[in-house]
Amino acid sequence: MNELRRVYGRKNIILMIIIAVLNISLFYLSCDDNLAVTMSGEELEQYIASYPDFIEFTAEQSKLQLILKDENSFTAASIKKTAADYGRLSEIKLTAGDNRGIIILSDNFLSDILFAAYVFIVIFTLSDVRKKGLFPVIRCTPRGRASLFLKDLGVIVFSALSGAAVIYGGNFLTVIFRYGLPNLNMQIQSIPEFMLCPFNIKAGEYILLMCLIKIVGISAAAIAFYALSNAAGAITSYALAALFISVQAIASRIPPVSEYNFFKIFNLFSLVLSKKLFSEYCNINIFGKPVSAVWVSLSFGVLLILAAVILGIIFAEIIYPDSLSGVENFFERIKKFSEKHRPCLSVFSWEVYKLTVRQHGGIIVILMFAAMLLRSFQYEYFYPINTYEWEWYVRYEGEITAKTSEDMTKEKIRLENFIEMLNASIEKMISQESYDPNALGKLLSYLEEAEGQLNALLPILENVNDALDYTSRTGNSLMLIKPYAYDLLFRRDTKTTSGAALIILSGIIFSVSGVYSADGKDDIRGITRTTLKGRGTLGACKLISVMLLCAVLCVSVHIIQILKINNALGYDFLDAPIQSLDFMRGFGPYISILSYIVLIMTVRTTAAFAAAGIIMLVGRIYADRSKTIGISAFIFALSVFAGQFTELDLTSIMYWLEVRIL
Amino acid sequence: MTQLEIKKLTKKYGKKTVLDNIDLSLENGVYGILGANGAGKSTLLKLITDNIKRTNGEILLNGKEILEMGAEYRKNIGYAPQVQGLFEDFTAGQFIRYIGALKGMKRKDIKEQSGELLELVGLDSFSHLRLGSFSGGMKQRVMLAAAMLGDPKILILDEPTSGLDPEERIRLRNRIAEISDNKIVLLATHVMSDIECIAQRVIFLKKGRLIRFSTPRELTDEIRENVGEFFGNAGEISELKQRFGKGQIIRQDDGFIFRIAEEEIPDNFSPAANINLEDVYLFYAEGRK
Repeated sequence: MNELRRVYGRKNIILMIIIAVLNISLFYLSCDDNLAVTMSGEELEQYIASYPDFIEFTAEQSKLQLILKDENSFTAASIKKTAADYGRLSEIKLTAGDNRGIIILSDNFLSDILFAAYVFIVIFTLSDVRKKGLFPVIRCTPRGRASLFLKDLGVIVFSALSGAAVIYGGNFLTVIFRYGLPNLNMQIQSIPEFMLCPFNIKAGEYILLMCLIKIVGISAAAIAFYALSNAAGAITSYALAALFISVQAIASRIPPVSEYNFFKIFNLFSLVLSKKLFSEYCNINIFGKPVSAVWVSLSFGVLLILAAVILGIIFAEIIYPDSLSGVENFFERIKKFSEKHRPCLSVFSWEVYKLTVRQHGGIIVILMFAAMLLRSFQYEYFYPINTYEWEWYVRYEGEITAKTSEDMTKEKIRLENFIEMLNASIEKMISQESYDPNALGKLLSYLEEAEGQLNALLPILENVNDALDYTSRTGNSLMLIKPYAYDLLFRRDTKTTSGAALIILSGIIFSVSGVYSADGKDDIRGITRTTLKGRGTLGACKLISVMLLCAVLCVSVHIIQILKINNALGYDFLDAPIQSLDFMRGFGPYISILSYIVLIMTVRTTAAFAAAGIIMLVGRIYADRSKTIGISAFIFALSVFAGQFTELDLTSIMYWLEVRIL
Repeated sequence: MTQLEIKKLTKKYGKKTVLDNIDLSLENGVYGILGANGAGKSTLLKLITDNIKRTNGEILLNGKEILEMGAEYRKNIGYAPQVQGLFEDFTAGQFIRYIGALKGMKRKDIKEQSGELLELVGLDSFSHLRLGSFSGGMKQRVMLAAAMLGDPKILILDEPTSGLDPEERIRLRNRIAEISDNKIVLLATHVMSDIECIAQRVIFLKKGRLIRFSTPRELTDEIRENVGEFFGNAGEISELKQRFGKGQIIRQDDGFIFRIAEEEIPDNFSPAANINLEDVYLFYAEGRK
C-alpha cells in the first residue's frame, strides 16, 4: 500500500490524467471513416461468400505441396500444421457488418506509446529512491530488499492493468461513441484484414487477447528496466535499455521469409504490435517443430518477466548497489573529460539549452513530430477524384478570361447536344423489335461518358463565371486551378489539422511548463536576480527561446500534413491568387495561395506563442512543473469547452492553433 | 574603497516589523552578522541584494541609491544565500558557467575563474557531477564559488561554512580574509569562530533592531563583568540549569563547569576567562538588549 501511495501521488495522477485525455482526444481524431473501412457493401459480401473457398483452397494446396516435401522436414510439418489450423475454421460462419471500430482499435501505435508512458511514469517514480540517495537507507531495513522489490512488482502489474484499462478502455468507449458498439460476437475473420487469422475466436475475444498481449509486452519491458535500475546507476540502466530496444527494433524489421525470422517474432515489438500476430499467419521453427508466432512471441514476454524477476530479486537481495560501478566509472570518465572542454555559453544559449535539454523540450518536439507522423493519413485513399473533372482542369487551367468561359460554354452546348442525340438514338433503337445489344451497349457507354463529362464541367463553368464576376468587380484576375489539394488542406482534412493542433498544444504544455516553474522550484531566483543579466535580459532570453521552440514545433508538425498532401495530390499554381479557390472568394487581401499558407501558419504560430505565454505565467505563479501542466491544461480545456458550447470559437485556443479559413 | 551606507532601513510585513530603522556604514572588510533565528539577518541581506522591497530607508553604494543604479549595482554583488537554489540537473561546472553568463562576464574570464574557484572550494574533481548528487556542504561550496565569480565588490554570504569540515572551513575563511581588503564581505553565520577569526566588525541584530555594531574585541570587553562560571557536580549543575534556564555546561575531568552570561552574576560564580562571541550572543540574544 505504501508503495502504491508513493507512486500514485498528486503529480503522477495529474500526468496520468493528461495522458488519458491526450490518448482519447488523439484516438477520436484518428477515427476517420474513409480510412477505417477497407471493404464494405458488395465487396464485403463477396469476400464473406468466398471465404469457405479460401479455406478449401488452402487445404488442397497443402495436400499438393506435401507430396513434394520430405515428410520429416520442418516445411512438411509446417504445411501439415497450416492445413490443420485452417481445417479447424471450416465450420465457422462469417458476418457482414460495421467493422470500423475493430480495425481502428487494432491499429493505434500512439495509444501503445502512451500506455508505455503511463507505465513508465510508475517505474521512474519507483526508481527515484536511487536518484534521491535513499537507496542505502532503504537497503539496510529488514524489508528493504527482495521483499520491497516484490511489492514494487505488484505495483507495476497493477499499473499495467490499470493503464490498459484507461488507455485501451478509453479507446473502446471512444469507438462506441463514434460508431456504436461493434459486433463483438462476430468471427474475427469477418473482417478482411484478419482473413489469415488461424484462430477460431470472436471479435471481442480478439480485442481482449490483443490487449493482454500488449500488457505482457509493456510489463515485461517495465519489470526488466526496473530490475536493471536496482542494480545499476541511471546512466548504465538507460544505456543498456536503449541498446536492448535498438536491437529489438532492428530485429523486428527482419523479413518474414528470412531464416532469422525467429528473432522477429521472439521480440518485444511483436508483443506490442500484437495485431500482426492475428492478422498474419506464421509458424516458427523451434527445434524442427512449427510453433505458432503467437506462442513464440508470448513466451518471449513471459521469459523476460521471469528473468527480470529472478535477477531483480538477486540484485535487490545479494548484489551491492555499486556492483556495476565499472560501467558507471567509464561514463564518469567521459563526463569528466567533456566537462573540461564544454563551451561557455551566452545567457540566451543557456536558456535554449535548459529548455531543450534539461527540461526535455527537444525530446518533446521530436516526440510530437513522431506522433504526427504516425497518425498522418495516406491521402490517396482519402480523396476520390473525378477523372472527368480532372481532365477539364488540365484542359482549361490557367488565367480565367472571357475566352475561357466562352470555350467552356461551347463545350457545354456540344455535350448537351451530343447527349440529346444519344438519347434519341437509344430511344429509337429500343423502340425497334430487334436490335444489336452490343450497339446499344456502346451507345449507353457513350451516354454515360458524355453525362459524366457534362456533370463534371458544369460546376467548373459556374466557378469560372463567378471568377469573372469577381474580376469585373475588383479588377483582379483569377486562375482556374485544380482545387483538390487545397480543398483537403483548408476544408476537408479537419481531423488531421485538429490532431496537429492538439499535438502542438500538448507539446507546448509539456515543454514550456518547466521554464519558470523549474527556476522557482530550485529557488534559483534569489541568486539570478542579483546578477547583471538576471532580470530583464534573462526574462527576454527565456521568452525568445520559448518562441523559437513553439515555432519549430508548430511548423514541423503542420508541415507533415502539407507535405503529405503535396505528395499525394500536388499543389497547383501556388502563386495563383487565393481567391482562385471558389471557397476563398470572399477573402479580402489579394494574395497568392502560398502567401495565404504562410499567413495561416503565422496565425497558428502566434497562437502557439500566446499559449506558451499563458503557461509561462502559470509556471511563474506555481513553482511546480506538474501543477503548471495541470492548471495550463485545465485553462485550455476550459477555452475549448467555452468555444464549443457558446459558439464563441474565437475563445478556443484550438481554433487558433488549427485555423484554416480566415 | 567601496562604501555601502544603509540609512533607516525598515521592512514591514503588514503590521509586523521585521527590520526597524537599521543604520550602517560599511567599507572594505569582513562584517559578521549575528542574531537569533528570526532576528532579521536574512531579511537584511535580501534587502541589500534587492530581492525584496523595502518599506522605508535607503541603501547607497558609493553615495548612489542602489535602486536607481539597477543593473549597474548588481554588477558589484556576489550572493550565496542560505537556501540552496541550484539546478539539480546541472553539473557543478555548468552551474558556475551559467552564473558567470548571467553576471555578464567574458567567456575567457568565466572559464579561467570557474576552474580556479572550484579548486578553491575543493570541488574541481567533482565539476562534472550533477548537483543533485551533491551533499549539502558541497552545494554550499558551489554557491560560494558562484558568488565569488567575477570578483564582486560586495560579497554576501549566508551561512557559507555550514556543512564544511574544519579543514575546509579554515581554508575558506582564510580565502575570505585574503580577498576582503578590496571588498565588503557580509557574513551571516552561527559559527562564532568564523566571525572571531576574520570579521573586523559585528552587526548584531535582535528582533529586527541593530543592537550592536562593534568589533569582536569591543563586544567581548563590554560583557567582561557579565560572564561567570560555577564548578560543581552533576546535581549542582542540574539545579543551576533549572534555575537559570540557559547557560553552557562544560564537562571537566572531575566535574562540570556551568557558564552563564547575565546582567547579574551570582556571588558564588567566579569571573569567566576567555570571553568569546558565544557569550556575547547568549548575553544579547536572550539577555537585556
